[in-house]
Amino acid sequence: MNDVGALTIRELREAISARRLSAVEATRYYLDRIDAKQAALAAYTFVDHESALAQARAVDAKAARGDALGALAGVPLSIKDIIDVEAVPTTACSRSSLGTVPARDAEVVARLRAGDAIVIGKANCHEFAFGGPSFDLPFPPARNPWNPEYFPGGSSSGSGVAIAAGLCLASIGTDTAGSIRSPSAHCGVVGLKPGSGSISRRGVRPLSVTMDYVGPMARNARDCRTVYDCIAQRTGPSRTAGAGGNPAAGDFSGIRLGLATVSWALESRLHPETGAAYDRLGMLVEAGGGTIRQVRLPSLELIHAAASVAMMAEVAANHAGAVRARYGDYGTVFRTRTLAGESIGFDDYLAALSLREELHDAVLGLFDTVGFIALPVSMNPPGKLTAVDRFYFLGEPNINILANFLDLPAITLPCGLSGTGLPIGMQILGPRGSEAALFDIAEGLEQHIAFDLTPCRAARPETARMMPG
Amino acid sequence: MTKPHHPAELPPDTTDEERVELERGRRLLRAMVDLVRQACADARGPSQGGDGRHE
Repeated sequence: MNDVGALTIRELREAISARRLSAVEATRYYLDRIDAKQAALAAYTFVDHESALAQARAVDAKAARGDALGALAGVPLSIKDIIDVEAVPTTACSRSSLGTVPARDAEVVARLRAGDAIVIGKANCHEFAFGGPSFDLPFPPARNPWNPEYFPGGSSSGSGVAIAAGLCLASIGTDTAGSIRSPSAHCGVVGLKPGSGSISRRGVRPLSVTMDYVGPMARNARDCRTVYDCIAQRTGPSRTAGAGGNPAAGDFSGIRLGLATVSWALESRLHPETGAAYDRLGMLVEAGGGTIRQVRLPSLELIHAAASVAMMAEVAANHAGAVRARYGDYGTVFRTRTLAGESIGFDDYLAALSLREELHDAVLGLFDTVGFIALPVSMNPPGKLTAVDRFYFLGEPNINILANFLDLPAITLPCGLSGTGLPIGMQILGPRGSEAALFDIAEGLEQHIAFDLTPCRAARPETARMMPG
Repeated sequence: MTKPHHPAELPPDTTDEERVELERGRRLLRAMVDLVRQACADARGPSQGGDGRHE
């Protein structure tokens, strides 16, 4: 088979099941691409060739025996390096954890293995999924495959990079304040931040118990859904089923999509190219027969404040003791952010949490008017990969944090390219339990958008210009 | 009544630049805490008063 890299997850599984392609061939294809591109992109912190090929041989043996194959049979995936994989270091991209080797898989990894997936390696990320990009960690920051001088988003940076560059077919990331959605948008892939309880967090390094979610990232919505169905502990019913139309086929006649008029002067901060992509998303839904309505998100500034107070207090509770004990083993961004969170008193932490349900109910009221709400992922297209203001996320609006604090599922998909040739992504939020419906809509939109990763994958690594680290 | 919270002294190897940044981060967080406190006070309303504690 000539072009293994062009196969979707379902096509790859079918080819392996029909023995037109072996899992070993598919795995070697992705390992070869990693060997060629890792130096330029730093997508991985750890790749185990022998283990990956052994897993692939086991899948081929099952296929040869005629045994039933799992939904992800022979599919090479990466795992964000804050998620445990048995006998493989979980470094969290921190010097403090370089020697940490878990004895068992995280629950999400165990489910992937039960689906016969190939765990090919650990994906690069920001230190403990919080704070970056950083240039003082044990691994260099991942670089955007569309242009290595640009930021790939974070904190699941290596996951987005690896998928977009064709160094795996899908990845498992985590999202505390946009950490799946940001790299998905910046790299031009699809990512789902699910609702609580749908994907286990067991075996995942905690950052914020209120805000942490584990979710899938993949090249397109259908691949992402296939991974989600394999790892989810529960999958809700499709809300779009019975609503009329066929959103997964691009018929949105049963869809009412809200475009947000937001407070806090966000419109004036939205980059014109991001605004154009946002408008285009609405037009595509309308062209497919859907209804567009303007909705006003309530109290975005308060949501941002309450979510940030809760998150920062929990980050400090989880990590400040260790940071104080081994200060020099943490990057400067992570340790400074973590110790800042210590200033939040318990009363104020509880006050922030007490606002959560009230704010959720205010947003939930919007779903009486519309089925789903579209939002940008970032206010600006991807920028250059440089050191960041440590506390930019407290001073600037982070629209992604809404879905985490209010426990709403959100899917991100690419909606166009910026003037600098970098992807721009949008997200669609739904009420709790709407993950399947979000996949329906994203699949339908992809038929209209036809986003193409080919230019990014065709870039030859030796032509990528490197910045000094 | 909300009490001020005083975190422990910083580790001795904290750089001057980090101390300045840390103080800036704490100031930004204090502004957010003020918003949260005000929202909670507004939610309780004038008639309930007190410290909002329940048995």
